[in-house]
Formats: sequence, C-alpha cells, structure tokens
Amino acid sequence: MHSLIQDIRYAARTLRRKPGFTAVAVIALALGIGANTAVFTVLNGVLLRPLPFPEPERLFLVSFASQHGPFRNEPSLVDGDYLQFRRENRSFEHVAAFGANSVSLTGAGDPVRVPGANVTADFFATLRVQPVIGRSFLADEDQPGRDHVALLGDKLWRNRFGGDPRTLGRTIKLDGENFTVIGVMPSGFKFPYEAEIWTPLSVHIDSHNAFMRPVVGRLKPTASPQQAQAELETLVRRFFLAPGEDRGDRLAQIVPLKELLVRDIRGSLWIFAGAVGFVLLIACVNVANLLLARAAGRVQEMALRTALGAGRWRLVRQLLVESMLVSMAGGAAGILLALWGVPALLALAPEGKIPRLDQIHIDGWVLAFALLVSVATGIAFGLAPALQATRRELRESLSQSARTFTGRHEGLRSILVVAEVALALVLLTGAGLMLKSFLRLRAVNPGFRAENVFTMTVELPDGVYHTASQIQDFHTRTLARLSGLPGVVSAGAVNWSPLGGLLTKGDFQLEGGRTLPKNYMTDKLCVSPAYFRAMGIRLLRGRVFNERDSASALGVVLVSQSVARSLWPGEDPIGKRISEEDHPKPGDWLTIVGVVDDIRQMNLADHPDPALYFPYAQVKQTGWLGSMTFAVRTASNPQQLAGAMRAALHAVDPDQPVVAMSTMQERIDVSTAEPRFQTRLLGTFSLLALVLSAVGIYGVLAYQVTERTQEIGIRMALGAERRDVLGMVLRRTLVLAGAGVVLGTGGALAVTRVLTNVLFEVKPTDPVTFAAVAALLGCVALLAGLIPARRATQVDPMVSLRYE
Amino acid sequence: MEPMIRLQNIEKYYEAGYGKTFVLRRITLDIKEGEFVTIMGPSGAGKSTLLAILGMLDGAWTGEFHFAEQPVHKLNTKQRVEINKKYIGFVFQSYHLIDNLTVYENLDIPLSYRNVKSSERAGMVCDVLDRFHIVGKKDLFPNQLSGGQQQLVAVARAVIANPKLILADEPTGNLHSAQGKEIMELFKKLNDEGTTIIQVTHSETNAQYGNRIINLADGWLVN
Repeated sequence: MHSLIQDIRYAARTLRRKPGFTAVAVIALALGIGANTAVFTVLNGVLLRPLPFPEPERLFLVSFASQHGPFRNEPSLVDGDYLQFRRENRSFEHVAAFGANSVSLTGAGDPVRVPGANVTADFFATLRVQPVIGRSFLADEDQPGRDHVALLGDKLWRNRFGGDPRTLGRTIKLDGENFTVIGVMPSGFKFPYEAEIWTPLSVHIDSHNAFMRPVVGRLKPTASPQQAQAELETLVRRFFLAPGEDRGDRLAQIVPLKELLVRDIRGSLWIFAGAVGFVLLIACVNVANLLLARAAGRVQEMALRTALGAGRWRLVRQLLVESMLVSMAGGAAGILLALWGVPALLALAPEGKIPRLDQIHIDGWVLAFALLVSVATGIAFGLAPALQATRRELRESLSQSARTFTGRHEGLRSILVVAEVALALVLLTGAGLMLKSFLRLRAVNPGFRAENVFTMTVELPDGVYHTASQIQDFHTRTLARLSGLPGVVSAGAVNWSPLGGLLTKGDFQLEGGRTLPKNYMTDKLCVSPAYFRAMGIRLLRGRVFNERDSASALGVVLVSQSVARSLWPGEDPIGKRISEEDHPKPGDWLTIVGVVDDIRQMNLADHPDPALYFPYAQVKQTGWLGSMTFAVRTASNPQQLAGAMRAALHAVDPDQPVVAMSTMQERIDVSTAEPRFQTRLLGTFSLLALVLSAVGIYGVLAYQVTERTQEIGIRMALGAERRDVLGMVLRRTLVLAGAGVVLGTGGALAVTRVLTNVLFEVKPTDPVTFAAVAALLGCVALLAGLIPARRATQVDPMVSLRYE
Repeated sequence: MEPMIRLQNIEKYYEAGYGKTFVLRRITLDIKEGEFVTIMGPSGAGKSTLLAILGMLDGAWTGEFHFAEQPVHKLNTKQRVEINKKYIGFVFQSYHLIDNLTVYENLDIPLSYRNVKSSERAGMVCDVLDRFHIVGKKDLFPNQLSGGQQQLVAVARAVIANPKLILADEPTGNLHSAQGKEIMELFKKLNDEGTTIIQVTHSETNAQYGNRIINLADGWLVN
C-alpha cells in the first residue's frame, strides 16, 4: 500500500513536470469521456432508468396490432379485443386502456388547451399510482353518464387553481362540458403523453368504428412475461376480425411499457452512443501514442530502476498509475464537460423528441459510469506503453545512448495512427451519409408552397358544437374574418393539415362494381374551397370546390394525382363517381370534379399518399370537422398576422383556445428536426474525431521529425533539398492516412448499415460520400503533416556534424 | 589557374549578449584541385565549422568564398545546394548511414537527390559496390555491419556521385587502427585519381596521407 502511495506521489510529480503532455492528454480524454458521459446521462435517464411506478418491470403493453399500414407496430388493441382480453386473460392482475385527449379548459383563467389523457377506471390501479389529494376513478366512472369527473396534474392544479385543496369537488369546463374535479395527481406524474389532466375513458364496442388504443397491464406476481405472451397468442385466435382482415397481418405481443416512451429515440441514442464510443477510442489512441513517445525517452530510467531492484510488474504498475492519474483527471474534466454538454445536447434535440426529460441528470450511476470509463481508458491506453517501456534488456538500455532508443515504437505508433484515422473515417462517413440524407430531405418538393403561409388550429368541443351545421357555420364565419384581414391573399381550412401529424385514412366504393386494389386506402381530408389556393397546391384537371358545393348540392370530391393514376390509368377521372358508403344509395355518390397535385401529408420522407378531398360544407360527420386548421396565404411576413388571427377567432367564439399556430415553413422545419438533430450531433462527434485524429497524426509526425532530425541533416548534407525532405514527411503522412482510409472504408461499409433506417434516399454504401470523406480525411491528414514537414525542412544540415 | 577553393577573410561568429563569440577569424586560404589537405587543431578550434562552410552546409558567415570560380558569398541557398550536389561528397566520423535503409539504398540516396534516372542509378550503385568490394553486403542494414564496413559504405556513398571534392570529418575516429588505415588508403587512392580531399583529423598518422596541413587554434589559422 505504501509503495502504491509512493507511485501515486511520484506519478503526480512526473505529470506536473510535463505540463504540456499532461494538458494535451487530459484534454483529449476529457473530450472523449465528456462526450460519453453526456450521452450516457441521456441514455441512462431515457432508456435505463426504470419508470417511476412500483415494480415497473411488471408493466407491459398488450398488443395485437397490424404489421402494415400507417399505424403498423403501434402497440395497441382494438376496443373489442381489449374488452375480451380484459375478461379472459389470467396473467395480468389489471389491464387498462388509455389514449391522448387534449382538452380546452375554460372557466379557470384564459381558455387554454391542456395536454391530457382519457383512461379506463383501473388505469391508476394498474400503475399503482394514486392521487395525493382526493381519489382516482371508481370502477363505474368509465361508463357513459358517470364519466364527467377529472383528475388534475400537480402543475395544472398549482398554475390554474392556485394549489387550493378546495378545488376538489369544483366543477370545471372541459371542451365546453362540466366535469367535477375528484383528485390531484402527485407532482411529476405526467403519464401518458405528458398529461396534465385525466378523464375517464369509456370503452365499448361500436358497430361502425373500430378504435385502436394502447393497453397497459400489470403482470401477476405468479406470471412470467413468457406465460403472458403465450396466453395472448392463444387468446388472439378468438379475437373478432373485420371482413377482409387477415390474422397473419397482425402481431400478438406484450411489450415492456417503457417502449411506449422510448422506442422512437432508442435507435438514435444507440447510434450516438456508438459515435461517442469511437471518439473515446480515438482519444485513447492519441494518449497511448503520447505515452509511447514518452516511454521511448524513459527506457533508460526504467533500466536504471530495474538495476536498482524493481521488478517488471512494479515498473508496469508505476506507469499504469501515471496513466490512471491522467485518465482520472480527464474523467473529472469530462464530467464538468458533461454538465455543460447534457443541456446542450437536449437543447439541440427537437422539442418533444427526447422523453422523460425530468429523469435526465447526472446522478450516481452517471458518475459510476464516468469512473468506470476513466479506469478502463487508463488501462487501455496505458498498458501497451507500460509493457513496451519495461520490455528492453537491462544491459542494452544502460549502455546505449538515448538517441538510439528513439524510433523503437514507431511501428506500434504508426499502427495506432492508422487505427485512429480508420475510426475517424467510420464516424465521418456516418455523418456524411446523414448530411447527404438531410440535404435530400430538405430538397423534397412537399407538393405545396410553404412560403408565406400561416396556420392556426382550433378544436371545437363536442359539448358546445353538437351538429355539423354548427361547426360548419363556425368555420365559415372564421374564414370570412380571416379573409378580410389586411395582407391576406387567401384563407382556407383543412381538418388535417399537411405535416400536422394526424390523419384519417380509409377505403371507398367505386361506381360500376369495380373494387379497389387489396389494402388500397387514401387520406381523407375535408377542406374549404380556398384551401388549395391558400396552400399553393396545384390543380391539374377540372376545378376546385366553390361556394356552390353546399350541403344541399350534388356531392363532389377531388382526387389527388396518384388516385387518378392508380384507379383510372389513361382515363379522365373527371365525372367518375365514388362513395363513402359500403352499400351506397343513389344519393350517396360523389362526383369527381377535379384532380390536384400529390402532397406529402404526414412526412417529407414518405411517398405522397393518395388522397381524397371533400368540401367541408358537404361533410355530415362531426368527428371529421371538429378539428380544423385555418391556413392563410399572405403577401408578406405571415408571422405578423398571429395576433390578428387570434382576434378573428375570438370574435367568432371567445371561448375557443388556439391549439397551435405556426407557419408552414416551421412545420417543415419540425418535420425535419429529427434528422437535423441526428446530423448535427453525429457531425459534432465526427468533427471531434477529425480534430483528435489530426492531432494524432501531427503528434506522430512531429515526433518522428524530432527523432529523425539527424537523419534529415545527413540527407541534406548528401544533397537533399527542402522539397525532398518535405516530400519524405508528407509521403509518410499519406502512407499512414492511406492505410487508415482503406481500413476505415472497410469498417464504414460494415458499420454504416445501422443507419439504413434513418437515411433518406441515400444508400449506406453511397460511393460519393465515401470518396468525399476519404478525400477530406486525406486533406486534413496532409495539413496535419504539413507543420512537422515544414519543420523538417528547417533542419540545419550542420546537425549532422554537431552530432560528432 | 584559379584554385578550386579561395577563402578570403572568412569569419563566423555567434551573437552573445552584447558581444560576439567568434568561431572562425579572418580565414584566408587557397586549395587547389587535386590537393589532399588536412585540417588539424584542438577541440573547439573551428575545424568542423570550416568544413561545414566548405561543404555549403553553413551559410551564416562573412568574407569571400570562391568555389570553382563561383562567388559562393553571392549565391543564395538554393544555388549553394546545387554546388554541394554537383561537386561535393561527405564522410562523417559516425558514418551516418541511414539505419532503416540497406547498403544498396544508402548508396542510391545521393543519386536520387541529383535526379539521376533510376536505370542509370542502378548501374552506378553496382559499379561502386564492385569497386569497394561490398557487393555481398548490399542487402544488409547498417547495424549488421562492423564499424569499418560502415565507414567503407559511407566513403562509397560520398564518391558515388563522382564529386570533385570529398570532405571528411574525423573519418577514422570510430575505427580501430587497421580499419582506419584501410579507409585512409582508400582516400589516398581517390586523391591519386584526381579527387580533392579535405579531412579533419586529430591523428598525425592520418595527416601524413595528405600533402598539406592547415592548423586552426581558437578560430585562427596558425602556422
């Protein structure tokens, strides 16, 4: 123990005496460990930390969802299946369905849209979370007629009700209907969907609609997940299937509840973890190279210590203690970097992309991780140099001049630089592919003209707006006011706006007994006549809707270009008829009056869906009309209209809050936010890797130049010119970089496959990106080599004589 | 006929605080083509510095220096390097062969710096290997040779580009007497064949191989 303390003291003194070496090594490691700690902090908070419920490992989502279509792989059960499963299963002690249900809260300050959830009565029993004040839902409170009760979130209770316990029993208005507050949930509880208010969910079998919702169950202590899975697979055989449905298209599975929160971010986080792992490896290689250089100069010291009685293990230990001290200092600096890096990383992330933000902070686990990484890196980069430095024969070491020892580790050091370049190339290639993919995504034509379009979304509550005509009247009056605003070129409305994240899809009937292709579905959108003009969607044939397409007029519909091409190839679709009804009566047919351009409705990365457009004045289902996005095209900066649009809405109905306001360009930015985030982060890590590699190449070449000063002097005495010397060093650079590029290209071909799912119209083996990255790395390597090369040309040939 | 080398008032000094430390003082000297000159003197007398100036390795001096009728003192660095490449070969005390190159490659280096075509270079290297009887060593690395053999290769390297002048700094300093004698005989032979040789040595015996001795003391030329 005493000798170990002595080693530590000696190591600290040695490092203090070499401040340049120590600073470079600590900075390199701090960057590597800091980046890893920052990413691990997020990874730990999002993926590893258990959900904040008792025994969270027993909570599972129960799913029998389709593997195809727009909702593929969303863990969910159809309502009928849920009721049957809840009745028949034996593995779960509680099963509860839930869904997102944002509501307009009025009567408690200004009208406000509150994120909420509706949940079946046993939802809180399933999670084992209870209100801190009041009670949760009673068993029969999820039945129609008794379901006008609500639980408040702690934040909402404090912000809107002043944290007053007398709020219990108070009646509040949600979407225009009265609800009684029965409890307040614990602080920080926001499950699911960041909810701040919970209302009961009444699940019943609807003969016209099949709702799919996530279902959570708590496993009995006696049941294993495998048993529950097996039971589900048995039960689903008895589940009802709609006509034309294939049981094989759906997958029965139980999924850990955490998946609901983390599945969208999991892939990205692991990619980032891999990237920062590469950065750390490069940092380790750099420090190992520095240590090898130092070891070369310390062989005589090691030999002398051996002569004085030190065993090899003792010497190795002493050198390892030095590397450990460096790595610990790097680790400590890395944690400081992570303290700054975590908020920076979260700030880069698109809003709402990273779940469980409240769980993301540096805690004991993160510190343990940083310590573990520091120890591991200390050993990883310290062991080889320590073994090298203590390997030589005693007599040889003591008898030779220091000059003779240099160059002994050149091979190993060169290998390390090659590895470093290869690692950087893999990372840079990944970033290059992401960048190219992102640029392609940005260049996609969405089918509409986003510039100068401002949108405002309003969701009308069923409790106030009972009928379609009431809703249509609201829309008509609002559109009239919006159209009259100064600077507005045109104002339109659509129920599901492009890139808004919501959609109705479905099939329909063709006139003449023709059937649709198997699984053929289109987007179904209700629009106002001026919607296409406001949004800049091109009319390709026929006409758009007009004021004459009223509720009493002949039913009309517009189709998108891809519908026309798929269903009436080579024909004019104008005048053809379709119906929304399964068994249409004569008055149920809708005549196609126009063809409009395809647009990217859900996502810029997806192919445009085929779409049908209905005039909102002719739509009878209130469910299709309640949510409406008003889009206005302006002559100048649309942002200036926000206040006027809000005022126009409140002039029509002062109790309706605005759910969302944004320009269409902002919606495009949001839809590309995730790839932008991934590209930026991978780009940052790659840049770090590039800089570290450049430092590594510079370090090795600078050392080699110093080492070869005499040789260069001799060469110059023998007639070498500066350009010969410059060429000699740069050739060496190119050999090292070239070997790294070849090795790294092989590695990148193997590794970039993990990016397949996040790349848009770019193959993970894209040759242009590979070539560009190799060229970039080659140039950076040459630049890094240029400084020592130029220094080599400054060598005075007199040195060859002075060595005499 | 003009001498091959003409030095007039050559001085070399280093700035030392407010004064100057002189290494060479007012060296005036002629060396004719075909001479075998020995520079002698105690350590620190300026022998190696003078050799470096003669070999165009040191450009920081004052005075006038003519080499083969060219005014070196008026030439820039590049032009001086050209003179070095065209006329001069070096032999060092510590041989200074390049460790990671074979004997063959070491001999090839001066030719490659003189832009000699590779086909011609191969012939020239083989000639020299043959002439110095080291054909059998051509694939060996310097550390596989004895000191004498290494210096033999170093001399071979110095003459391979057919220099008119060989500058040798203590060429036998690291060799035992038999090896030293062999090298000096070789210099004598090269001199007899017309090559001008200037050697720096502490050895009286080696000095006898030359036809003129120049003594230096504290940077001054002394009789």
